[in-house]
Amino acid sequence: MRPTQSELLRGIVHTLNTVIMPDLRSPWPQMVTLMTSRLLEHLIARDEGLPAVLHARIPALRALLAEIDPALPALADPTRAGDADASLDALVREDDALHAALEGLLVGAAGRDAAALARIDALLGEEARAEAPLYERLVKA
Amino acid sequence: MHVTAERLGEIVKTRVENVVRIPGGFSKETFLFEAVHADGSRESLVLRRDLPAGPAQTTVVDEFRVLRALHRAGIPAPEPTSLEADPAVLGQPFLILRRVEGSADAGGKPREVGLELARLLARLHSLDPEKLDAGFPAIPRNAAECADLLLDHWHAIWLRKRLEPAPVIVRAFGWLRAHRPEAVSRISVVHTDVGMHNLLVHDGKIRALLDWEFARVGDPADDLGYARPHVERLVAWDEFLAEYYAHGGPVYLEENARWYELWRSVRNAVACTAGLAGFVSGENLQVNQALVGIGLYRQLCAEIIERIGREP
Repeated sequence: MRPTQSELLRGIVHTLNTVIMPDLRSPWPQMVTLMTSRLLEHLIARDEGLPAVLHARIPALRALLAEIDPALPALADPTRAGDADASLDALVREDDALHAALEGLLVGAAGRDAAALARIDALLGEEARAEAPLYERLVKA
Repeated sequence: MHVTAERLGEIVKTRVENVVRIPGGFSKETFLFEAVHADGSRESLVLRRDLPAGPAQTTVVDEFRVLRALHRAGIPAPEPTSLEADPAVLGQPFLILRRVEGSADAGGKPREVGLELARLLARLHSLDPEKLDAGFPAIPRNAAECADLLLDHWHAIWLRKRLEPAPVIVRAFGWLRAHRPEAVSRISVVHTDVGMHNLLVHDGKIRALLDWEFARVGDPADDLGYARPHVERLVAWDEFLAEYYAHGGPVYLEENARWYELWRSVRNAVACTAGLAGFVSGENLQVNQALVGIGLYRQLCAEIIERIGREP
């Protein structure tokens, strides 16, 4: 459908920044409008960037979980939403399920295994670096 | 419920003018206003109001008691003049403070302000929490209890408010529990957010230390570690510590300060989550909660995991 969500949001952000903001005089409405604009820019970044982030990290997450505990139920999910043609909703569901499984490992035996923890820390650090561009407009606000 | 001059006038029982909501701060709403008395004199006041489902999970009802006790003890906390705990009056509980003139700027006298801050913290950390009547919910007896009180309280909030899996937070709570400080140099009243952003300075003198909502009884290393980067922009750390010790401050334990630095990031990440939960539920639809609940939360998670990776 055209305009796409991102195309439409860019227009709204432009209006907020060039028409509404310059006419605001008190600090609180100025700040709220700036924050609203930043949130809309985040939606654009999420719309355009999140699928690639999830496609890249789901296989890495699966591999780490399998290495630590191959019998995890989350790994047996037959939908394998990490596949290239999966919808964004399916990717998010799978990502959440795998992260929930990782939480389970952390409160279990892996949480006391220094080698496993080092691998988990490395993966979580990499995830944070990879997804940072999705959030940078919010952080700069 | 909107905060208007008319509504505030009914509350303070005099004419009110120049009501301005000020930006900054995500856990309370802050308004400046002037009360105009019958003789024409003007009084500058500040209203702080709880947010519904606020991120800090604190209330001005507790903050009022802390401010009153500290002000009476001679700490330059803003003087609270009234508290309204009934949310029916203005939508949420609120307190009113006397406004203190000043700005978050050392005003060309950084060394003087840095050394005055050392004396202020030494005084704060020398107060007897048992005698203060500040209503602190718990007084820990040792380093482990200082840590456990925080971890138990905020872990429970996180379990109630979390919206999605967050292995970084699980990892962080596990790390913090496994590496609790072993010793504390003194059990003290701590502010936990000491920096230039919370100081009001006028003519090179500290007039007020603001924002006591996270104040509690705990490890003074919490304050010192957080204040250190702010202090080092004002005065050399060694000189600051010498002044702090000369005025009765307890020994600074740097290892504890590092633990509290990570702890603070975790607490703030949980607070972001709590604020976002309020936004998602519709209880508090202010966009600042979404902004910090998404953006600052992710930034904090990145910092937390990076810091844990650096620890031995």
